[in-house]
Amino acid sequence: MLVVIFCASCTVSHRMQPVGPRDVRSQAGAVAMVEGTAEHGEYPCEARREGEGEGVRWFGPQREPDRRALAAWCSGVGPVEFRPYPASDGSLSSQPLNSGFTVVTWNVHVGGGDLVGFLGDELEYVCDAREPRKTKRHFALLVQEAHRASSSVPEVPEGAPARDRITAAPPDGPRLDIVQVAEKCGLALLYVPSMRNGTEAGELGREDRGSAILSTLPLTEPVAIELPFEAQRRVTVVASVPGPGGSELRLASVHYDVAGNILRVLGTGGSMRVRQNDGMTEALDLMDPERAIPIVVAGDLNTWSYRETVVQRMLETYPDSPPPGNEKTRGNWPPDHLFFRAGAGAFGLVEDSYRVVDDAYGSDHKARLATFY
Amino acid sequence: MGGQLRIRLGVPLTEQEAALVRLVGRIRTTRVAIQSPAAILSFLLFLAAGPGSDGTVQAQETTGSTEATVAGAAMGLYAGAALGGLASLVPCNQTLAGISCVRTVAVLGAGIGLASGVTLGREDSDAIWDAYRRAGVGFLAGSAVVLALEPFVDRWSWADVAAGGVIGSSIGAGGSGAWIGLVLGMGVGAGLWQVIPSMEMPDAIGVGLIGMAVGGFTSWIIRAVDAGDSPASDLPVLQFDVAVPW
Repeated sequence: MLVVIFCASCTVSHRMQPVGPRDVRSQAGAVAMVEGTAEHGEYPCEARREGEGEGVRWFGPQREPDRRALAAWCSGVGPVEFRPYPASDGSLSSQPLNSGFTVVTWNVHVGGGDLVGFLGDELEYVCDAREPRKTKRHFALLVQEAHRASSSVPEVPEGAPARDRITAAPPDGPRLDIVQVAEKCGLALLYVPSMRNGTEAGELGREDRGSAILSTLPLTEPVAIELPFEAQRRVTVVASVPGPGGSELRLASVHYDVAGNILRVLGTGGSMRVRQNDGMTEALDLMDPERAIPIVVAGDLNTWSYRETVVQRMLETYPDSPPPGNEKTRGNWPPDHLFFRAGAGAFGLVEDSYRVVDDAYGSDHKARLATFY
Repeated sequence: MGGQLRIRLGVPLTEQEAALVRLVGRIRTTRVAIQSPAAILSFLLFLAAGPGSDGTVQAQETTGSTEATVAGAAMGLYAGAALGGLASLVPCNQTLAGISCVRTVAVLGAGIGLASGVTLGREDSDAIWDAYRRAGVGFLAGSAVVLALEPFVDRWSWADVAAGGVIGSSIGAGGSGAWIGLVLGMGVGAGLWQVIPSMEMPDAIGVGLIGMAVGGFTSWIIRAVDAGDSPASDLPVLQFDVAVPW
């Protein structure tokens, strides 16, 4: 048993590196650009990452077993969907940013959550092309378990892992995928699929699912961070929105694993989510070593307690976060959280704005939101 | 009001072992601070209950052997690490230290198990072979439980079956103390969960696992102490100080 626990330390490495057509390797603190590495032939999913996501930067684990597992899961998903600009609408673009910016985090249970209804009721944002789009304040939705149905989602290769299909639908209205919601509501979108949603095609085609960011503001600097592999492929989606006076606010939509198998829990001492978080933090620090850019990190951590190690670690990393609270956002569990670090930026958290939305709008999770000035 | 209850556990050594210890030059003590009120309650409850004693007086003289000593060391090391690791999973994953905390407790548990297993093996071979038999039964039982859960869980693998076996064998090796500790700990945990608003369901399970570990360790230590003679006053002992704040 001791051997298992100590050997598991060999498998809990979270060291991260940028990946992509131009691998940037960190060697003893220095950074060197390497063009066109041979690894892309070894892991064909690397090429798929480019897809239609122009300029999306990728980060992933250094450890070979992680990269092999992630590549296998990636082989069944479609390309990144990046639509950086919201629909042009004079009434919305004239909304002053200094009236506040709302960030929502919500696991929508693969189509079960009624995003359109949520936007209308909670943010007073009407997704109707016939109506002028207006809202009290600009917002961003950090979505987990978003799905996309498209012909760009490939057949699942032989032997590649694929999760069972989830076909949850909202209580009222049709089941819309994340791209349809973005189009209907005129929102900017960054969607990065992390895994396949079933092997067979549905009514609208083959589906994949993952995390996304929707926003009334333009999205810039898109980044996808493949997390160290535990039970499933998880990808953190990162983008920035502009703030007052040329500042920026970085947003990260995260989704950690529940648990691997029992042996993995025993072997890692229950530190699976900590490992994934440490990997994500390292990747974010590669992007912003000074930690100067204000950042909101929010999502479904799959925690069973607000006192879990991963929550405590994140409160240390993001010291301007609201208290996590013990409110249950999924059944009797508190898996959803939001963290914030003001850095050297001009953003701050509006006091007492951090709350749980009472209505789940058809999802198995309730949303959390907070307002920033 | 407040203070610290200190409990010293000692493992007697033979003359040869004492000589080796003198050669090494140091006798190490290990301290454990139990901070959680639930853990304190469980620990005191099960120490007071004295679980794990077989409750019978051996009519015949027991004898140890080199093989039993080695086997006892191995089993004690394994079961102690497993019990310590399991007991620490819930509380340690609510600290910043996380896996470091789990490793520390697992090492401590392994130390207690090792000392107990060596002592027991030197004095009573049968007790060691009984522990192995119980561990084997526990492995099969634990594996069977996980196998039976397969139709009811989303994710299942043969690695889970192996893990169930590992857990079952460490409980089996711990003897009746581990079982009693687990059951009573679950009861205490469930009660605390209802009474303490900040306590979550996994905390209740954690109290059960702590009870299992406490009962298992107590069982090992009592068997080891029962099997050995009291140490001569001039012989050194391996000491474990358990500090329980109250």
